Amino acid sequence: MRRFIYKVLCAGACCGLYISCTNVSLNETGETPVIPYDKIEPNSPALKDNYISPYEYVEWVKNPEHNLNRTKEINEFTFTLLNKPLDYIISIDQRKESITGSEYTKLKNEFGDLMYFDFTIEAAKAPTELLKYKVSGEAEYQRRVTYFSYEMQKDFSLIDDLDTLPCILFHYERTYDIVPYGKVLLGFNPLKNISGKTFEFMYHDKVFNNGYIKFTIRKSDLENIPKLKTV
Amino acid sequence: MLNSIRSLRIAIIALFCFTAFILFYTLQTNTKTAYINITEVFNQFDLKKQLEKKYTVTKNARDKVLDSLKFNLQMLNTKLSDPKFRNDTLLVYFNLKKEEFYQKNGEFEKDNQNYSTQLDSEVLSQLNQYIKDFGKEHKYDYILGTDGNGSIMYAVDNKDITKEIVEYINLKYKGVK
Repeated sequence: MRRFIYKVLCAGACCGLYISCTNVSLNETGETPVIPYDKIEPNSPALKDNYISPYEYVEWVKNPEHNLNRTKEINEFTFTLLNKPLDYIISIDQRKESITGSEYTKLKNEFGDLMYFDFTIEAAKAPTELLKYKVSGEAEYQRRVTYFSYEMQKDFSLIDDLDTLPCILFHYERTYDIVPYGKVLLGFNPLKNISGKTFEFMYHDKVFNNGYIKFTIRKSDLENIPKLKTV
Repeated sequence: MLNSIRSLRIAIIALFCFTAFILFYTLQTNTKTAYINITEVFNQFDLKKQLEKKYTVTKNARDKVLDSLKFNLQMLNTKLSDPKFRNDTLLVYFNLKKEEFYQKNGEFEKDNQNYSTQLDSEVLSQLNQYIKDFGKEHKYDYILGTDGNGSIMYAVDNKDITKEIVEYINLKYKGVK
């Protein structure tokens, strides 16, 4: 019986050692512990020192658990907001398994220090193109095209307790009849001093009559984003 | 003696099973219902408050234009009532201004009405969705709405979830939930 208890204890100790070894490993320099990205809890302080590959970075940002990829459903519409950190944009731009330090610095300077977002509107029963959804005729369709191409920008803003920032970079990806959703790429000047714990992203939907569409962004979610590993 | 204890035990178990079955059946068939005060929910909804402010700004700007036109008309009318200033040109000008006032007044009334309807539809579109979400999340079979017009004549107070709903829809609207 005693031998059996010893065996169980030894097996438990071995398992514990194995789990701790597989969960945390050392990086190339042997200084910073690297945690596999799928094991990272949101808001974990470990993220501050965590470097992940471009592929892992894209997956991490897209994972809704990390609060950078959010959706809101209002009746037949789904609004999606993807908060794109600069490292995410660089990862998407390069489409490589690894990025060198010089490439990274060059791209970082190129993209500047704006806050980038993708905003998507999808209608569940849209025929082939979002702009054609419940459109009354050609004239209304053309009005929608003009609005989405040139006027929509002024309906986006970032709102802090003390400040309201307009959208300064805007591009509507017109997909014609390929996909039933509409996507806009947005850029805002960074909120230098976020006074509260949160700030708001806001869009006024005037075309489909859904009113203000808001997403609250937590400061803590932005502080815990991992970094892109370079070679 | 032994037999009677055994039969008593069986009877107790049977009674327990029967009670459990009745309880389970009641719980299964019992519908979860609550009610809300629609007017209060609508008025306490943050989106409604924000859009109302926006509407008031637009309406005030339009009212100012109308006030200015009305003031000019009153001045012209005073002038016309004085025989010293009355002439055909002034009368024509007065009529033109009067027409302009009525036209603008009609336009603004129609625009205000359309704008108000549009904003109400924006509010209702989100409100209905969030109440649906609340019902699904909290597993309600029915959420009834009362606005004092007799749709619900009586309900116990603990079935009133107005406050809970107001809190929920405002969090949903902010995009926190």
